[in-house]
Amino acid sequence: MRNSKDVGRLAGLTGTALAGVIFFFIIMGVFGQRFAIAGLLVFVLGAVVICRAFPADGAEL
Amino acid sequence: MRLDPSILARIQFAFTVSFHIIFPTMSIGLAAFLAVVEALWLKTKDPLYLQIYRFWLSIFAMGFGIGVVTGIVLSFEFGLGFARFAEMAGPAIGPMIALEVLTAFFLEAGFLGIMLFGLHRVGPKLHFFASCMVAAGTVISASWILSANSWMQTPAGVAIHDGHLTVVSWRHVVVNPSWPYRLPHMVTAAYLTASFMVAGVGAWYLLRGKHQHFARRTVALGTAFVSVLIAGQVFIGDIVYGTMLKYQPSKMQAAEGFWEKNSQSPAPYYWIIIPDQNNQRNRFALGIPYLGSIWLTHSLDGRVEGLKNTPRDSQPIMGMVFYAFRIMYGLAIVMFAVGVASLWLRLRGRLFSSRWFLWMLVFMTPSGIIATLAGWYVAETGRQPWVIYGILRTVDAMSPVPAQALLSSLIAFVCVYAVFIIVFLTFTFRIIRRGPAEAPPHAEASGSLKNAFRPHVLDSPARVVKRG
Repeated sequence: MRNSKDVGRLAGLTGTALAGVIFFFIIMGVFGQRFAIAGLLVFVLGAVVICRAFPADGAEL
Repeated sequence: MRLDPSILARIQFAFTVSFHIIFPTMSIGLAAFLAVVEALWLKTKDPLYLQIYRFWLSIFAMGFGIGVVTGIVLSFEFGLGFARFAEMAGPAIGPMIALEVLTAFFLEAGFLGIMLFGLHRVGPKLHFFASCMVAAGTVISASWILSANSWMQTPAGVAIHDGHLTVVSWRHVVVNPSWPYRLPHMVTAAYLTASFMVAGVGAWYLLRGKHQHFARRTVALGTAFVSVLIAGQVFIGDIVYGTMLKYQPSKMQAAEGFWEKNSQSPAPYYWIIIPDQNNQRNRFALGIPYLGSIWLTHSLDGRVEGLKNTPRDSQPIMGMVFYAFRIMYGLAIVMFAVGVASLWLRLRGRLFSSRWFLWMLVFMTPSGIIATLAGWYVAETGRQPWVIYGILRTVDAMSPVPAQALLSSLIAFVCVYAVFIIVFLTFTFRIIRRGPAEAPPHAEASGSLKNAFRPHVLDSPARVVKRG
């Protein structure tokens, strides 16, 4: 049970890291200016949506 | 030992401007942060936002004061160490510095008093307006200074006759080729600096188990700003890179660590080099294969221009530019990783319980300041040997001042600035150790001069002015 949880966590971490690297390359303009602008918009809007949907400090202490 | 006045003048300016830039960077970022927090307080009426506002207001006020004092010195240093530069560039630079004082400094100074001492002397909306005006003033100030500095990097709108410079187009002087990109790059850097400071202090409280509500809200705010801002900064940074490659290629050639006119294909991305400027080669180089082509030319096999494309007498010192750029860029990558990690942890509901992440935020607290300083070192050392790129060399810009005078003033600056930094750090750490004061439920502060700098002093009920 614990192993499957660890594997799931590792997969999530790897996926997040991979998504981060891909976004970094896209925003840097590696795939061209249009992709860079689109990647920037997707990342910023995604960040805003996540931060608004998960305010993070509402949980009981 | 014979002292070289030109070296001393450059060391002195480098020291004073490096010290100075720390404080405006914090002020620009914290002023915007305070305006956002006050807006949230007005919108939600949650006293926690007022608590955050008052806590960071004290640190902002100290940084603002030191920034003003150390900034005034720089104008005098143009005359002290760089009189020929002041004489030649005065027609272009002088009015911009004067306009900074008239349009930004007066605006900031006027509303700063209301911001610091007026929480209950004026209405909340007027106070919020004052906070916004201070935040706007810091950006306007940065805009003029960046315009002046960008003109030195990419001069435009002037004509030179017999060594005298005449402005032919103010529009081109102010909106010179690099200014539209360097300004947002600098302002975003300042906002990131404040975001990491706020998140770092909150993370430290969480690790110590103190001020939990305050800490959670500040970590949540700081990391949210980081994750949005860092993506914009990477995007703008790439545009600045392209602009400087076009207008000031020697700087970017030095920043990438290649010597040959065209690098090998595919080009690696160097992280460590030992450059040998005399022999125009690297004694040692360590890099990641292909990454240079991918990042710098946006292709798998592109070649990168080396510093031999620039005549030897016009080359900057590669080592300084290269390592300053690597520090800035390396920190940007780590900041991006922190932004992504914060989003992932937020999704999983572990933003405040992942100790590794909280420690990372604590270590990243000064990262914005370090990255900004490194960026300015890239800009200034990469422009060398020119003080106005392509127009006036640094060695020709000096004042005829004896070395002893420069040395004594340098020692004086070091001593006085050491006092400044000790005072600033002592009071800042004291404020952080004490923690935030409880926010009064009526959300009003005493407004007295003494209490404005003492976050722990709560308003006594007798002093609270009842409205209506």
